[in-house]
Amino acid sequence: MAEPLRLTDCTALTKVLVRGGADGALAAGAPYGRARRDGSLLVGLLPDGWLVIAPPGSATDVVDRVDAGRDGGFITVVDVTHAYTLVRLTGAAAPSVLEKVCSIDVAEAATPDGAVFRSLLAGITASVVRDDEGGTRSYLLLCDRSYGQYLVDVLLDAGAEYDIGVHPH
Amino acid sequence: MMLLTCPHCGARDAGEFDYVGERRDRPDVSRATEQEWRGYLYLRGNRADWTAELWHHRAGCERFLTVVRHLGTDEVRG
Repeated sequence: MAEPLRLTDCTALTKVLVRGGADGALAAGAPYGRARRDGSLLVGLLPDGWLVIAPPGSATDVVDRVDAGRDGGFITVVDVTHAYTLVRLTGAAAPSVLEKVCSIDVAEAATPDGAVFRSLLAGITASVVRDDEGGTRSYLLLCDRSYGQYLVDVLLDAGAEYDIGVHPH
Repeated sequence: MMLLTCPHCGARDAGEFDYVGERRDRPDVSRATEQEWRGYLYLRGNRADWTAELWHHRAGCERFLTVVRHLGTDEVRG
């Protein structure tokens, strides 16, 4: 039986934005458009920007770890946990829901596990990270906090025909 | 739908981009006449022809890119 569709609020996860150092270790770990799991999730969000997604309350540890790992260049490391809404859309029908709200090709060949893209989702700028869970299609969706409720409402509306369920974190 | 090809993100819907303006060379401030400077600041060609433009990929990589577009047909080169 196909995995049921569910939307999970992951906003409480620590989110640390790193800007600069496009030639450094972060770029080698997760180039633009790719994400890599290494305890935390390192997301290549921009050509010179990365987002580190880690367990709740670990911002200080993440900032210290990034600072310790930098290779001499100037970078900016900011805890943006409370600036963004983060939700996870999981289930076999997740690509079908995304196809209804954005114009990016989410087929396996174009957006495999670990792919990252930033685009318009239902008219708002959002970042999408494909982060499969145990072989089930799963996407992390990140947008400005002020658009969070709107994004959730749009996803629930688009997922209604697939019996989407809402799960607490 | 108009597609613009971003060097970082590939072909994307033009709605993800902001139009910045025609691409023009900035004159040397120390040598430019007032007319040249005024032309740089305020005058636009706006010809129904191929024009190099600056666009900003706001809802993508946040980079500026040059787009060569025909202002009569909206056709995009490259």
